[in-house]
Amino acid sequence: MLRSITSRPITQKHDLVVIGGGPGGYVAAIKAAQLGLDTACIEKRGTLGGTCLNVGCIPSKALLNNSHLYHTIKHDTQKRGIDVGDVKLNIENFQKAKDTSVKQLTSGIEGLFKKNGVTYYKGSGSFVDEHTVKVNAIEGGEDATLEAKNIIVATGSEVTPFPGITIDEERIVSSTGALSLKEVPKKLAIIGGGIIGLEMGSVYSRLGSEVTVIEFQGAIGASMDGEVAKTTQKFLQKQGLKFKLSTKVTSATRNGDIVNIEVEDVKKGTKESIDADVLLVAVGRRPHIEGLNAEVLDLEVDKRGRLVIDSEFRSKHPHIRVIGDVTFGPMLAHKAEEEGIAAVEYITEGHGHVNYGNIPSVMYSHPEVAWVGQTEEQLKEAGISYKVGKFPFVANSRAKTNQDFDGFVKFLADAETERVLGVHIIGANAGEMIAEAGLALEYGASTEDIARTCHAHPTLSEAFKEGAMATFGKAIHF
Amino acid sequence: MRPTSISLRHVPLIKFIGDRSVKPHPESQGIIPNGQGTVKISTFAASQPKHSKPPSKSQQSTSSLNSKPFDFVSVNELPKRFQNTPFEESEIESINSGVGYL
Repeated sequence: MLRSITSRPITQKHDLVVIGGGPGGYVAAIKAAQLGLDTACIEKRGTLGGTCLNVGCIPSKALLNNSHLYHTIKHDTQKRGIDVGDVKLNIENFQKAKDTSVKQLTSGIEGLFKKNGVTYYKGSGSFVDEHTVKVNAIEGGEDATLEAKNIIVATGSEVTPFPGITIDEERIVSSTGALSLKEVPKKLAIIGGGIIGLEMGSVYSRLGSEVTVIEFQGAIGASMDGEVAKTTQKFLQKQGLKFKLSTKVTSATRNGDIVNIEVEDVKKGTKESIDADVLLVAVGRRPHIEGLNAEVLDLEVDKRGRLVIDSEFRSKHPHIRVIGDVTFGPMLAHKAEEEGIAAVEYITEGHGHVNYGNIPSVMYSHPEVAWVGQTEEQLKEAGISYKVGKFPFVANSRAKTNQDFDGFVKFLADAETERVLGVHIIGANAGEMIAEAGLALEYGASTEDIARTCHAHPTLSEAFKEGAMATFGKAIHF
Repeated sequence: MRPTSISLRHVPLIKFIGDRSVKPHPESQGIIPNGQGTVKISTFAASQPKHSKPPSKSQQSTSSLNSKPFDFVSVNELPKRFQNTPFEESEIESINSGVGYL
């Protein structure tokens, strides 16, 4: 009797319950607690940080950074006057370094929850009714029933399955498996020439794999500006990656330790067979709503499975808001974070702010590719007159001294007012430099504003300034 | 007596008193809750492809496109290398001391 009483799930009341502890959810939870709400966050993974910190942005950046270092030491030191001996890859320690970064970051968020007074429930959250969420505990957690005045759904996204291809996370892997390969495959095939495919392709190419990227579309790089995408492909080809564009995969079968991939040229109809030691399926991600029991509330999705919300993130039940990958907009961690803050501010203040025209994207290849605002293709389609200003890193002093000068800065500015409409950068450090473009866009700056702002010398950011200058006059150093 | 922190508290001059009607999310292409173009979640879920079940070792050599659909329900079902490792004492200490890395 006593046992049945003590093991009964606890019922707790909170001002706000956040379902999902990824970049959208955990940021929302911390912000809400800071603004005085009694806040709880439910996460079923066992560690906070969501896909981004556990099996996405963070581990992939660890692999990208360290594989770049390895490649540089192995192939790029002699011309810098550094003679090194035998360089070997220790794949076990290579993976361990990644795991350490992930562990430090995810445990850091748990610390932030404690610091800000967010109650953390380890388990999966599912709706019981409009105001009640049940927590099914995982190891280390406790079953609970939570009553909430407000609920934020931030359940993120999952890998989109490729119909007919079985992911075993050994030879046929998703992005999750690609982060934890035990050995460097001799041949790596990748379905999908988007950001994830190209980043992982870069990692294993640097480690010695022969990489083939198979892309259904006629260009790589998803939403990149067309010119930038072509240049990126050129640079990656120079590094050894092979591309099969306008090519569809008709089947992929594992035969022992080999994966056989049948492909077909979309335009010519010619067929080809490719063998690989590992096949990475990276065709995108889809909203994750499974297990949420949202059916009980009759929540709606659009035809892509994204939960439908209004401009204030409200679902059909106004006190239930939805943010991040599981709803509209690009599936990016920083977009989810912005929405987390804004959704909480709508609850507490009645207003919030996310500028969807100013969400930067970064691909962490080498050179990096980063962009924000509109592409040339979008401006043409919208019939907006624009000017282009470009500046190559080969004419930038810091890039020259770094012996790392592939790429350029490209500005798109309104033809009449020179207001910045879009910035596209391919080059070392592009992912950091794009922040300046974001600030310019947010404040409605013109390219002249940027060109008249003093930039430190010698820095890569001088290329940014000169790119702006080139939209209305001439760059000095090119 | 009012503490300085209260008497000098910043009161924003901007008032957000615009239209409070339901507007579509900027990225939704015009769809709003309870509006046209929405699909019931139960209807949608039934139509979606599932992740295929990984074959057993004995099946691997003949694995084909016709394997049964399967979804991992829990992270605990994944191979051990994808599962979470327990915290070490030093990490717990780090967390409790308020260190945040983000």
